[in-house]
Amino acid sequence: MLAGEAHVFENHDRVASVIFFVVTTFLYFHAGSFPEEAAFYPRMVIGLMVILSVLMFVKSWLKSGRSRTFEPFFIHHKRFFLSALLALGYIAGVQYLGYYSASLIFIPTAAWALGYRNRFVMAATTVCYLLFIFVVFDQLFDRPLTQEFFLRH
Amino acid sequence: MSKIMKCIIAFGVLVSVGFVDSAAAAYPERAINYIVAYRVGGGSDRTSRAFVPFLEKHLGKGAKIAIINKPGAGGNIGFNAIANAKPDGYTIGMTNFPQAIVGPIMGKVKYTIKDFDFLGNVNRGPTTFAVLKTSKYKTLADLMADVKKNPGKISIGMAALSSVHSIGTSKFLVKTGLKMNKVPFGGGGPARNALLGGHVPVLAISMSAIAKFKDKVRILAQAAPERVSIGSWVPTFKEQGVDITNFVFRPVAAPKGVPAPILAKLRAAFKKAIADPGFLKVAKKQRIAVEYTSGEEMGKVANASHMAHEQLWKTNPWMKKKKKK
Amino acid sequence: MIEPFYNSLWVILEWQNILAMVVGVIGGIIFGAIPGLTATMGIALLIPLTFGMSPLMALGMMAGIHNGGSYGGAIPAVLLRIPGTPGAIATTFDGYPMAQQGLAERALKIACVSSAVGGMVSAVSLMTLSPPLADFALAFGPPEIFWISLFGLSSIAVLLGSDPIKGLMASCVGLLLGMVGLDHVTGYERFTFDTLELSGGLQLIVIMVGVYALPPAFQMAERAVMTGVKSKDLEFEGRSDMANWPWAQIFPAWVRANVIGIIIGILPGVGGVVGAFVAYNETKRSSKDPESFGKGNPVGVAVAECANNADNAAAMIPALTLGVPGSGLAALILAGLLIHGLEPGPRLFKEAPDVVYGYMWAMLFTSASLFVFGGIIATKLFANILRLAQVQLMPLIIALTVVGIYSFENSIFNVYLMLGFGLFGYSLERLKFPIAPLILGLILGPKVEFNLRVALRLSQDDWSILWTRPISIVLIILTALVLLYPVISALLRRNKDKPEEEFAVGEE
Repeated sequence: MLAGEAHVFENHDRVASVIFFVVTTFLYFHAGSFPEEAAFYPRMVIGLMVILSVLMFVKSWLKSGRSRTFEPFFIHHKRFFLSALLALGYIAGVQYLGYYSASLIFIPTAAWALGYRNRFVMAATTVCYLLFIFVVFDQLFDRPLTQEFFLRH
Repeated sequence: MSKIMKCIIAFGVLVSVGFVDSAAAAYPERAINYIVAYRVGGGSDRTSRAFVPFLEKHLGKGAKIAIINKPGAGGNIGFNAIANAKPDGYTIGMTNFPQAIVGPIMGKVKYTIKDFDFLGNVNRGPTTFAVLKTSKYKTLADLMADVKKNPGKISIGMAALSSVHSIGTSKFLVKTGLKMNKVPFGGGGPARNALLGGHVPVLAISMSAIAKFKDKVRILAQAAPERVSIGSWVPTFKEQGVDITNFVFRPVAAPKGVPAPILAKLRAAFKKAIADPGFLKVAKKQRIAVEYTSGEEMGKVANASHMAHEQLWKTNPWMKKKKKK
Repeated sequence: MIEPFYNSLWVILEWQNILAMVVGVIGGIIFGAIPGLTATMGIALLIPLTFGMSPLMALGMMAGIHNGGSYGGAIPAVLLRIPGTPGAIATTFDGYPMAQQGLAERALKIACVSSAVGGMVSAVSLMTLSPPLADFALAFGPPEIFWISLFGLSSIAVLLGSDPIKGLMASCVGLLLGMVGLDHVTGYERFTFDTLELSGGLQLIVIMVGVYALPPAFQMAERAVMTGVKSKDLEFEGRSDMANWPWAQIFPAWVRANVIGIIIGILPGVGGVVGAFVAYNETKRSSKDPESFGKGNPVGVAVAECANNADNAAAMIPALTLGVPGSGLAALILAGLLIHGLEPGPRLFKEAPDVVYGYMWAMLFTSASLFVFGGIIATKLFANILRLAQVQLMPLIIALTVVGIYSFENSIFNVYLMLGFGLFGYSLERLKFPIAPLILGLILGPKVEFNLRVALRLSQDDWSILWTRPISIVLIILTALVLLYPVISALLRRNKDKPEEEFAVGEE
């Protein structure tokens, strides 16, 4: 990686401190709309956070000259976004398709998408897992899960 | 049209007519969801778990009722889920008065009390005022005299300012023209502990939660029209010259618009279940004050209660009003 | 005094009761090991099933779930750095580093033995100390709970990690998250942005599972390791290993964990999480080698698990003797007693001695049974899951957290919320923010604020209520000592060498 590029990403702390500063400043003013009694403690804590975010920014600034070690924010950003999207899709699937159907699709798909190819292990894991959930949640403790789309009336 | 077609159409018509008729007759064909708007282990939950097996029994046909807890927002999330469910008789649940009545009065929720069809009421518990046995207040009159001498100085504890007992306290203060310092303790348990530990002199709490501590506390008054069975030794407010009543009701409700035959069936099963000796035995053990009111009657109670609370909220709110945005 | 113990011992040892306890312990361990499910929920679901049982059978099973569930949370905490229950958060500090060093078996066994010891000592305290300690619990009013919460919060100082600014920021994030929802004093909704689901506040379990369980899952996906833990590392042999444990440090750690865990357990509304944090903290502070904590020190696992389980029976002391439950779980066990027509309170000890003392025995036996079942379930059932390829494990972790959080309140909203906190937790972790202060702030922040304001409401704005009561004074001194300890010890060490530790004093 080029030195200049590294410099841009080098200090995530600086980015984080700016985000913290913006969010906490907004929340500080938002808390001003609360009744006085309910606003005191939030404003105290948020005020401290604003100060801390400034300190964090200053510290990252001072540190930037010294530290040359580069650690990217993501370990592997493509796979991170892939798995985060899969997780989101899975939860939507649990909501609309039902827990068992969604899990039946999600567990092998996620492993496949990440490059796993042993079909037997994938099938066995999925089936064993669903059986375990069925026994614990349905048979043992009678906890209702989300309604199955394909069994809906 | 061929004969065969006619036959098929006739058959179809027959089947569909039969289906509509038998929809009620065959009810319930699958599991009924029963929503509890409070956490597992709370009063509504325990009452429901004691009662539901008997409702299943009297619905017959091997009916299965699944209890689903949907807690949050002081019950509003669960009430919302009941009111906005498909009115097909397969979603019912336990509501709570006055929480389900004051919810729509106090804030933004997606239901009103008119969105329910009631099956009947399971239990009813009055608000009481309790003090420690060692307290200088021997009667309600003692308390009122002291409060009159020190307006606003005497603290009265309660679970939360939005709770039914806070409303009851407000009714009492409005009626007598007195002033007290209301202190919320963030739950019935902590409030009771605060009284037992001597951290607050008076407590507004339900009869069922305090009656078992009768060795340690003196219950000054109960806000019922006549003394309830689990606290028959406690005089009512009315007996002591303050004409107020204040209750928790726990009625079971369905969303408005359930087909009449199904609603009738549910109400009939409810009426039988609540009188079932097996249920009464369980209820007695769990100290649930069973008090049946029919579904039709609960609708009227709900309306009257709604009007009364709306009036109180306008004139003497039991807690600070939210700023309207 | 001895007679009721002796008589009830024979009753509890009837085979049905033993069976009930065993089923309870095993069920509890499995329940505790699933993130999102807790012993409290297990007992609540069990109650309707106990109608037909004898009182002792029902209570024996509840005792089993209680103790099993408290330990079960440690299993994923050690193996995956995912605490199964909030009480197991402190177990992750050293348990997971141990597992990474190939010492998963030792960590699990130490957790198991320490849980059993904590539970047993706690049960003995329930048997012997009940009546005198019960009144002690009631003496804690809002001012005292305010101080004890502040005392717990002060242990954040030691959890801050290498960068105090980030540590404090994480604590503040926790305090801030704790403010979301209805303010119970004014009835005003704070930071809910008119969302109905948020008006009841954020649930600890949703945030905890999000920030602890999802980041490791995402990292597994990112690294895309096609293999699991090598079979060799999971070769669990007999107990020959126990001779190598650092017993000289584990014993004093257990004593400390039990004293702290029991005292905090008796107090209403504080709970095992805080007990584990405080005990961990004190052990680290008094250790000769505090630097080794958090890097796989077995003593850290021992103290965290021991304190977490020492809470169990202790929390039942005020519940049984006064009928005043200190936690949701204790309230459920009281409900279980009521179903069988047994009235909690002083008279219960005279009216149904077999049941009360039998229940105490059950708490003792089920704790002890962790020696037997804890190890087997952890190593034979759960640890084998680690043999799966990590890319296959990742969807399983996500599926398990989803089902656990969904069934916590039957709310899909909570599941999305958990995912959101998972992404947030991932960012915090990559930016090297410590997570534990966030959780501690989330638990104790609301208690500090609420009890302070209720105390002032009680005294009608007379602040002296905070320092004129005897228990408060003791707590103030303790808190001050904890906060000033780094300063004092630095002053004492000054002669030896220059202090270069970056301890942060104060938590707000």
